[in-house]
Amino acid sequence: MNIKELPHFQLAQELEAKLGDPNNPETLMSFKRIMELDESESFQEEFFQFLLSLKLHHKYVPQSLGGELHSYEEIYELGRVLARRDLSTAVTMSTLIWSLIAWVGGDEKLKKRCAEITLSNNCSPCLAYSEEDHGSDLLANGLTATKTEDGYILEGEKWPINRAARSDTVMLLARTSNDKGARNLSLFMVEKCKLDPSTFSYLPKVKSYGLRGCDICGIKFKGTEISKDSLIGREGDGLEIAIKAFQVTRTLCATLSIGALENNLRVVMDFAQKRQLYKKSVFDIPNAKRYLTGAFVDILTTDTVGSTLIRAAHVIPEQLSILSAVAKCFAPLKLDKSQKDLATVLGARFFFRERHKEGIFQKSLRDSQVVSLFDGSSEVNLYSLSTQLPLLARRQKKVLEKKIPVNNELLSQLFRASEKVPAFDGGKLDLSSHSKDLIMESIVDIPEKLAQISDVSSIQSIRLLVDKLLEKYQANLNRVMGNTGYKIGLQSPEMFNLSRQYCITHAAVCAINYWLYNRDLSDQYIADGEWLIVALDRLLHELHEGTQDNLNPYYDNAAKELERRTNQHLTYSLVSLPILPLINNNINNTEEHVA
Amino acid sequence: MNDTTIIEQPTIEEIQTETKKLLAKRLSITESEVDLNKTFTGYGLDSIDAITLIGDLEDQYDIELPSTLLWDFNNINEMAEYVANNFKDLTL
Repeated sequence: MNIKELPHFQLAQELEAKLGDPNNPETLMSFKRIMELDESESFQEEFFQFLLSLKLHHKYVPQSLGGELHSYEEIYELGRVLARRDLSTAVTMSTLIWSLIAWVGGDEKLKKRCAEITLSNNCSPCLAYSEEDHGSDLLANGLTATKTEDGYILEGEKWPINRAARSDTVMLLARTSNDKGARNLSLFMVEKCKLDPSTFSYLPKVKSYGLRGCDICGIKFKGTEISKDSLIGREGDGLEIAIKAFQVTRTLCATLSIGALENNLRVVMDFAQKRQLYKKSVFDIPNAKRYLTGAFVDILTTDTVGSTLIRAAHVIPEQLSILSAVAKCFAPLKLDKSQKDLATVLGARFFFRERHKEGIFQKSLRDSQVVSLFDGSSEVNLYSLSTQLPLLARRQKKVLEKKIPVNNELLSQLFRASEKVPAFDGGKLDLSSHSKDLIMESIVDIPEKLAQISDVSSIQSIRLLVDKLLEKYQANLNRVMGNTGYKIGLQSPEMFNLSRQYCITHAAVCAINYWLYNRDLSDQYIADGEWLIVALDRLLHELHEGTQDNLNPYYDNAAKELERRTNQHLTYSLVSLPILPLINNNINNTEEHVA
Repeated sequence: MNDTTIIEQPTIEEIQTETKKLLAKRLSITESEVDLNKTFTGYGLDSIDAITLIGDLEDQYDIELPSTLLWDFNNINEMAEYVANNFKDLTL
């Protein structure tokens, strides 16, 4: 089968076509218009209404409830298309994902109501968890919901909240008990149209570094009455449902970082191919080429993480607590670094809010930096991982030592892109993976799987890099377990560092498995595995493991693939899809080169 | 995970002692400072610590516990009683 024909890739192509060419100022979502709205810090209302006219909001409601959501792979791919165009719009649209809270924690009646609201054209929810004084410390929240005979009375503020003002429903986390425990919070789906307008108000829009047009403000409740039907799940379930929903949304954050980087890579490639310095193009300056190639391969690597882990939400939801933390710790941090490398290549233009592509680069750069803060910051996730790392390590050490074979059927369902994933079941999400991490445990079988491959010319280099990775992985397991004579404290900077290295190793294992399970489905370049060599080399460097082999030919071929995709207007993702030609600029560009 | 070691059903007292030890280690305090009747929240245990402590117990006894166990039982006494009484069902 042709992988590009899978429904989520088809949807992505259709949306891309409808958005039009961003370089054409006449297009609705042109770079020009995107920048005008950003400069004036105006909400992207016209873009949002356009996306509603395409019925994109139907994609957030499961089929069983009358919507068109088949798998979260669709949201992942659509999110990437939007993030590639304008992260502000992608983030605005992404608030629709908070209907997920109803799917995870609500009863049938509430789910049905949430579906009705989401499918209507007044469908914008916002997530109201954080408070000015408490940040990510949700248990310290002060907004109260006091029980009455008919429902609850709300008292307090939430801030900063994306779309607090421009939303119709508020997914609200409120204190329903004065106990100090984790059962003192409850979640409510608050429909603004059912409230007495005199009992709630908005706090002023926050001036922000990125996402300048987004409606980031606050909401204040003062004696606001809500019905008891607003309660999601049971009283005291709030924190549990909130954390479970975050597991899916954190995983989806990867696609926002990927989309933003894809856009900027294309913007810089356009510059690097055209710009002549020292009698050659910027692209032909070795170090510039290395930065650009690195960013391209980082997209591929991160895409193996994001696309696999979003499938995990369907295939092994009970392990998503660990996997989502990995996605959140790996993707934004990895790609923020790539963004900075691209800025180096673009030189002074990276700093300009006009001229080259209307100054879209700096906007995308600024906007993308906030992704690491969404849905529990990457640091909070790293903390969560570091506390669980000794348990994960203990189990994985057993798997390695006893060579316990992994469940290959499950692994195939997870990694093989053509295999249909089961319907999402929010009821299977768990706050703990109980020390399991199927992906990392699959590492034990990888050398044997690679040994069976004989039709790939670069297989020897792949095997050597995998050996190095395994060596490092085992050394880290021993460090985590204190087998090296030095006991590392649970919340120490060393354990945080080992958690970060766990995420990097995880990404490598995702990349290897993606390749193993999708070679026959992929384009030639992906199938040949040369990208995997570059990906592993870069990840090993991040793990402070230098590789000795001369891998330059693989980097050179990655650069050629990057050029090919740029010139043929193909995306930089694992599955390369056509994007609209950058009409005028590219014609001129080609002519320049021919000349 | 399949393992050759068979873990015998622990008594309530053994689970209490083990939890005391693990909690003290998590909080970097001495075991004598842990009171079996003091609420978990009274120790300043955050929601992530609570889930991690459950992981420690799971690893110790090769069982699978509800992730919200420490959210739903107030103190070591109550929790140990639940684990001891349901040990067979919790065993992997």
